[in-house]
Amino acid sequence: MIRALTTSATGLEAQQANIERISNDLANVNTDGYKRSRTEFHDLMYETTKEPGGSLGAGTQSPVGIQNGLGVKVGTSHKIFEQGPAKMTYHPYDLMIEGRGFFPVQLPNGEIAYTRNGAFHIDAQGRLQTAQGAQLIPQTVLPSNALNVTVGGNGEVKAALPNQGEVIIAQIQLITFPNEQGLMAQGDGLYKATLASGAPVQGIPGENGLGSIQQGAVEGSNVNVANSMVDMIATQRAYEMGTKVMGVADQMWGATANIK
Amino acid sequence: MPIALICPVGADYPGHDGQDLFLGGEYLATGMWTSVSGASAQMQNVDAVANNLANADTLGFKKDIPTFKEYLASVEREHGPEDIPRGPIKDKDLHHIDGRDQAFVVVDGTYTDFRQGTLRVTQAPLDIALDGPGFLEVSTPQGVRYTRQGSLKMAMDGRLVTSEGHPVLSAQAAGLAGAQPVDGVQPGQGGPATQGGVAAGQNSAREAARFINLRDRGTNISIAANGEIYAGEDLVAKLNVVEFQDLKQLRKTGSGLFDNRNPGNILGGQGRTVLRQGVLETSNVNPIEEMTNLIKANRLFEHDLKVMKTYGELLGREANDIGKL
Repeated sequence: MIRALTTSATGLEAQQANIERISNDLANVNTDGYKRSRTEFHDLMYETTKEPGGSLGAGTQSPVGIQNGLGVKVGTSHKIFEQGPAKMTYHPYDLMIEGRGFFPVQLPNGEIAYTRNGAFHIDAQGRLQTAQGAQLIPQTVLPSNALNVTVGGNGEVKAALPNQGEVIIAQIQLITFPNEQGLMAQGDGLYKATLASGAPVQGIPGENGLGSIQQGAVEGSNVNVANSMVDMIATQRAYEMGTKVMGVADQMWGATANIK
Repeated sequence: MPIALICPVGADYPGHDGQDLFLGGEYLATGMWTSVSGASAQMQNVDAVANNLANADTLGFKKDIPTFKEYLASVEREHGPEDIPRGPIKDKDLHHIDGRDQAFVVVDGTYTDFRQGTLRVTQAPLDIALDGPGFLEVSTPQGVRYTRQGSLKMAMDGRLVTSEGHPVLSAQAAGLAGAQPVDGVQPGQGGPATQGGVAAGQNSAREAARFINLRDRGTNISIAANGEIYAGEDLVAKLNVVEFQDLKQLRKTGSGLFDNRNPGNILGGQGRTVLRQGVLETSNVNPIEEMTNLIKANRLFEHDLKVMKTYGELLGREANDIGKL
């Protein structure tokens, strides 16, 4: 009886983790560069009272065993790096990655992080940086007299300078990882490399499977509202059923206590 | 036996002519334990429902169903031809109490329902659903296990792993093109000889040779219906999809993994399982069925308690009221 209570408690806990994940996804439905998460559940260990295939006597094996499951746990919760929709902004420093890849940026505290939110701005020195002040790596400085900055699909930053015509002033690099799902989300659309993600691999946009760069657009959130709502309904009902089981277990326990 | 302690009086007790009142007493005590066995069986039923519902959203989960059997507590008297009593007929001559009317219930087994779970489209390239009775073969520290959880991931070293980090095994040793088939097993065959050796957990080196590595294979990974993994145009490996003769012999070890202790259980040859890329198999728990089972178990439990209570009252009357007559 206590088993049914604790088993359904693990179910409630898992569904709660799921609803927390869904609420975070839905809260970020308009966050540029946001990637939705997925929670995966795994069944917990089993209490084996009787082995399946155990010997019952000479030449006789039990065809089925007795195994009691002890509930569920959250196995993994990871980001899904599916392309988000393009939002055209026509702002020259808004860069969208079409395909795989991350912009490498250096945070004000010196740490390196990776982001897909390509809404860049320039600071007083003309350096490209994110809204949080993380500098694009390698440092890209736009001359103050630059006119008409264009970023090509291959990451070439060109600007028309007075008396020089159009010159290439920087080359934007993109980063990929052997296992993107192993990245650690830091908030602010930033990710950090971990042991699971593997070492970052640098490349030119548009080459070796890397995405190309689209100027004047940002990548919207890849949260699919309809899917999240369906998930939410399923989660809510699963939670309800868990509490029902708990109620029944409690009732049965109570009834047992009241036999006499 | 606890019953004997409560009421050691039997109809055939020496020096006892089978007084009907005491015969009734014996019935009562045994019947009480029968209803106790029923109540605890229903508790197990609720435990199973709780676990199934807790895993209603677990990928590749297969629900468990407890099965009950009756258990004869004792055969007190051999079943023989009816004797015609000489002299006046008593109750005991009419009812042959041989224990067959006092059946207890015990859980006989929990049987896992291997029906296909619902498929959910995710579009992720490394999500695969097994459509059919097969299992993916994975290598765990405890030996080879089988799973239907198809949310595969790429580890940092490029190995294809489950979300728990256990490497998925290919049908044969690494480098499919020009590789030596393991133990003479031809591609596309889950040969029993290989499987047996590996299932015994004695050959981790051979397991390691069957890891699937997708490092530097680019991003364009496609998995064909027969388990062949392509990177672009190149055939990288073939997932080993294993089918079993008798699914009931599989033992759940948690985290969606199954253990097969009987190497002979593995079917060789081309399987019937079709792999679908970008799809996941969710749990096969049917909430309606589970809620129905829950209500049923709850009510049956209540009935058993009622019976227990009634027996309790009857025994109480036997103890207190009979003397007053």
